Amino acid sequence: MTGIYDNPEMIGVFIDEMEEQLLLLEESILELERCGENPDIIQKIFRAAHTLKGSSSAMGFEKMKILTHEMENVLDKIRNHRLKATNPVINVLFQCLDHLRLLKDDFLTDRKDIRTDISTVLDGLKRILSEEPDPDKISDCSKDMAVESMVQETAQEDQTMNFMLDLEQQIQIEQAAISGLNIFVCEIRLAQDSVMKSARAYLLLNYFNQLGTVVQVEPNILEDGDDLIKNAINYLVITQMDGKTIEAKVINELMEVESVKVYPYHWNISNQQPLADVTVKSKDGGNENPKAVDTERKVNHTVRVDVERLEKMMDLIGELVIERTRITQVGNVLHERYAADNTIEDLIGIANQVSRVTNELQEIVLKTRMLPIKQLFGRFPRLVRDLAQTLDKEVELIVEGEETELDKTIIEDIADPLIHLIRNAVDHGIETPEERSRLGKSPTGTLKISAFHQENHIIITVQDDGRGIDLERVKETAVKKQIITPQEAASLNEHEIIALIFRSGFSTSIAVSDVSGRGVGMDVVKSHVDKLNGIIEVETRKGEGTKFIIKLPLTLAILTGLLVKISDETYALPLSNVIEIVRMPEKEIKTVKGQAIAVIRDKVLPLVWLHDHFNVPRKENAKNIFIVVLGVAEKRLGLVVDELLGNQEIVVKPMGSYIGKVEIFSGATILGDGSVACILDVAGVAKTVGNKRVIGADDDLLYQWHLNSRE
Amino acid sequence: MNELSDNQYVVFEIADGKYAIKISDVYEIIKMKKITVIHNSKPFLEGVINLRGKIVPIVNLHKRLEIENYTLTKTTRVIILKSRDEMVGVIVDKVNQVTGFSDIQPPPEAVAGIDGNYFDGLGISGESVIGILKIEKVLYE
Repeated sequence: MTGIYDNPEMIGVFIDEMEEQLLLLEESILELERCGENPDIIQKIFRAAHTLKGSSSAMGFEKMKILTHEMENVLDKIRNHRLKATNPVINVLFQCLDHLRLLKDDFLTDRKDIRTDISTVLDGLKRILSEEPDPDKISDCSKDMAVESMVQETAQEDQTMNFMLDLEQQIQIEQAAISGLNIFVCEIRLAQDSVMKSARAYLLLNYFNQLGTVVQVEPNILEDGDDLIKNAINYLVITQMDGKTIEAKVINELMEVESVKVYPYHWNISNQQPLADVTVKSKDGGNENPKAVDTERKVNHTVRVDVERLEKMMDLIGELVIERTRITQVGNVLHERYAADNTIEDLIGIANQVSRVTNELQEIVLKTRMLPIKQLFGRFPRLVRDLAQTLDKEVELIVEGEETELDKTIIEDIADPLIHLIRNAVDHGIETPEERSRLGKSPTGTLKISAFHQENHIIITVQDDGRGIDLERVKETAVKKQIITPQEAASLNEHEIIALIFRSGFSTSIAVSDVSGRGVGMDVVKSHVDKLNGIIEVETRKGEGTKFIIKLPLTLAILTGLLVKISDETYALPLSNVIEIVRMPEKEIKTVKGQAIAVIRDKVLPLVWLHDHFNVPRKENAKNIFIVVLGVAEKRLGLVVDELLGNQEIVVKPMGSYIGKVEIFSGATILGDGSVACILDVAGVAKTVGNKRVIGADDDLLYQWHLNSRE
Repeated sequence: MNELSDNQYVVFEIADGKYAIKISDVYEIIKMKKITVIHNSKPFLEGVINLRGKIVPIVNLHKRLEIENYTLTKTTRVIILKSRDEMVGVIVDKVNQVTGFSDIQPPPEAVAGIDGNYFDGLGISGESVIGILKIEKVLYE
């Protein structure tokens, strides 16, 4: 049985859409909770639910259709002020969202077997629906709404339709009013039995456009379907005619119109208020609104592309980059050989041109893989809300730099570490409201997550204003868990103590809570960041908070590498890990406790000969040796190489699953001459060679070295 | 065993023995290229090559089957196999021909001193008997 349901492309589009709409739903429900009832937000939620309903029913995904349909009913009631968006209602909406997610997951695993039970949440929705609103509540509700959204409407509460206008439309109306035109709200009720209401509404729109200019229509008939037009349709019209004439004309000239009411539109300061309101909100970090308008406009110019196609494109560009390098090399060889030949000059010229174009192409393709980090950050408000609720804490989340773009694969891989850091911050960092008040802090803790670009890197920070890391306790725990000895503990400086939290087997939380401390500690966070060639740093001040700074490369696919030779084999080192390159007479190398060290700028570096690990001979009788100083987080080590070949853009290629994971290599690349070079994974190298402790080794070694030199 | 005997096989030599691989497992046959050694990996992995922009691992069959190591000659070839959606190359001393077998017998306990488990069977064509390698076993176990 093949039909539309089994068409993989359709399914792909559907899944993408589901994800998008679910994210939108989550955002808007959170906004609803934070900002209170605002017709714009309700409309957003409604639209997302409606889209989901439409697409799921097209895919024959019954359960999702039913659930979204029920959600629509509830939302419709809220929209018509027959139901107040109280906390229980919002909680049910969140439950709906969770169930929709579960349904989506089911759909992804096996679309023929949707297991998630939606009956409880459906009951919840129905219970809300059946709660008959009593008249008092309604006025309450609208009053609340008025207060919360700062729209001060008074007399015509029942009568005046409140249009959400953007700036352009507001200006349009203002100008119309100045030039003496009438601005009317035409409230039309269509006959109950009218079929194709949206078509009818559209005809009306055209009709009004003949009489004047329609600024806006509520509900939006162009976007929403028939079922939205259950009640009145309101047209905001700028016209020269007076209200009575319009009313008469509509009744006489149009069919299937049950009633028509035309009244002047009370446009005043209050109608602009929502805009001002938005700007206020944006200071709180919830600045989705203006951007949402932006993205909606942008959406029209995008195309969905299969990720695999992008990867393939990336591969091909990679090959092109390699060939480009080869052309240049061959050109240079030819130039040396036949210096007099002009054709070779041409060839070199062409090679340069090709290389320029390739560079540009590479940049563009890299950009297509970039996504705004909003995709990931969008999940956090909900996460923080739930965490704060479970832990009885008050947390204000500030998100900055959502539009910062980075490679899609990195976004996926950094999600877990970030979630872990956020959990930690809310669970261990931020204190309970009582404790905070006692300490003279505001009872609401602040959690700030930001992202921004810095040169070729992206910096992500997670910062809380909680209690900070207790260094003494860290030391105690590390000793207790036998990560370090008491003697070592005494000699550690602040920096080194903080570094301890990234050691495996470390977790300061005494009680294993539901939220964090499930055995997955900071070491996992660090190894994730390491894997992405990133660096993680911590700044903490007792009582004032903690800040985690993660520095990541923008992309993993192409990196600048330093090519070196070890024996006669060529290896590439990610330049981001290279701190400096030093040439040093061999006799200046000292040995302490069997570990070779070099002193560079008064710092002691452990030296590593990969030769020994590769079973290739060390270079003999060299006067000077080259030391590449490598850094991963706080660790520093000196890699002894035989030759330096220079910097080059290298395309990272996986070694493939047959070879599997080799700890010291992160992949391979193809060099200009067509041969393969392995890319050294600096973190892996440090781990392989330094089974001894490398953190804190510096001081110890330095001390030993001083002793030795005195002898 | 009918299914086996209907197939075509690539016959090649390692040391002095003749072996065969099902042609449907073979992606292509290339001349020896520069191999980059991957240290600290599987013992019988010779290294990797660049096959038109792809990194392809190369297995040393001599080491794998515990035969005396190969010496590079004019006839040395790399047979690129396609297995588990990945390409893996094996080094052979010579590629002889593509052939079918009139009959295929189950493998004995050992074939020319090599563990019988490495074989799918013995292919018989006319006078000669050729061991058919079990790719899955040779490459992965």
